[in-house]
Amino acid sequence: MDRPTIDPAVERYLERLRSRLRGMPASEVDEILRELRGHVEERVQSGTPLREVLQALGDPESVAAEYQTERVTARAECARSPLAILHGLMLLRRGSLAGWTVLGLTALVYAWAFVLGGAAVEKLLSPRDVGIWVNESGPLWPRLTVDGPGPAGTREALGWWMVPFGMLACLTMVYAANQLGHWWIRRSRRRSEGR
Amino acid sequence: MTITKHGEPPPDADDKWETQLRKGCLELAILGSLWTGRRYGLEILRSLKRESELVVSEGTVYPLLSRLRADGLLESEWVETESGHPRKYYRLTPRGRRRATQMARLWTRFASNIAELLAPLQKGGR
Repeated sequence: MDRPTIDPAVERYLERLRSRLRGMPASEVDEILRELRGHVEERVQSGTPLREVLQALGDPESVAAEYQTERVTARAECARSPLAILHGLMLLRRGSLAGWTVLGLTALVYAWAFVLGGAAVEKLLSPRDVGIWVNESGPLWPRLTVDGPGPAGTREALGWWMVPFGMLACLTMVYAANQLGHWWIRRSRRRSEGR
Repeated sequence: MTITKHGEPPPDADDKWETQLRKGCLELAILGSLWTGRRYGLEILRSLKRESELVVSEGTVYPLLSRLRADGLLESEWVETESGHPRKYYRLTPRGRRRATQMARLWTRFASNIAELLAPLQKGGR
């Protein structure tokens, strides 16, 4: 038997879905579209009007959001890697200010963790260039350097303690950012399940 | 389904609770519908519609199938049909079978506890 003729409305629906599945591997996206195309074709062939079939599926944005939440965030929820967590947050932000804020905050904490961890390692390699410097007189305003001693009038605060401090700060910050990311992802999942 | 005779929560809250309940059970229902053998998406949907009132939007079932497969509870294969559209068949993996049995056991225990808890309420409601 011939393949049924594809209505342009189906193509438009699938294209809208494809564009909202970005970030997922192309092979996975192709498989999703192939499966849904089969679903639509078979229901239309068994006599249900196309409009009704597409309506029963839900609009492509919601279907794509379901896929994104089910798959990518399920992985991110148990992920330990900052990249996987940031990716999950990227997909979940959905234009909301709170989503962007959590994403920005998490990225910032990861960046600081990276800087402090890096400084701890660098301290071992060039001890004179790395440190947290505080003013000798006046207000205490610590600044971190990794490429040379601090400005005149400042002294190094931590000495070799910079190494364990940097390491510990790095681990604590990664842990905190992971917790924040996981919390937001779980919250978004619960919300989308409540829809 | 109307349990809202005493109706304190606003209708929205009732809808949300019902949607969450349906969604929570959908996973078990899908695993259950595959217990006797392989089925493709539309077949699973039809059996769910026939045997339960769980499916609100058809578009939620396919992403769930995809996640259950990613979790290793289902495996899938494409089968070409005479009518021209290929079908993606799903079947339970041994892990999926174990999970379904475990979930069914939990469900039965949970449902009977809740029924016991609600017995006085239902008598009082009449």
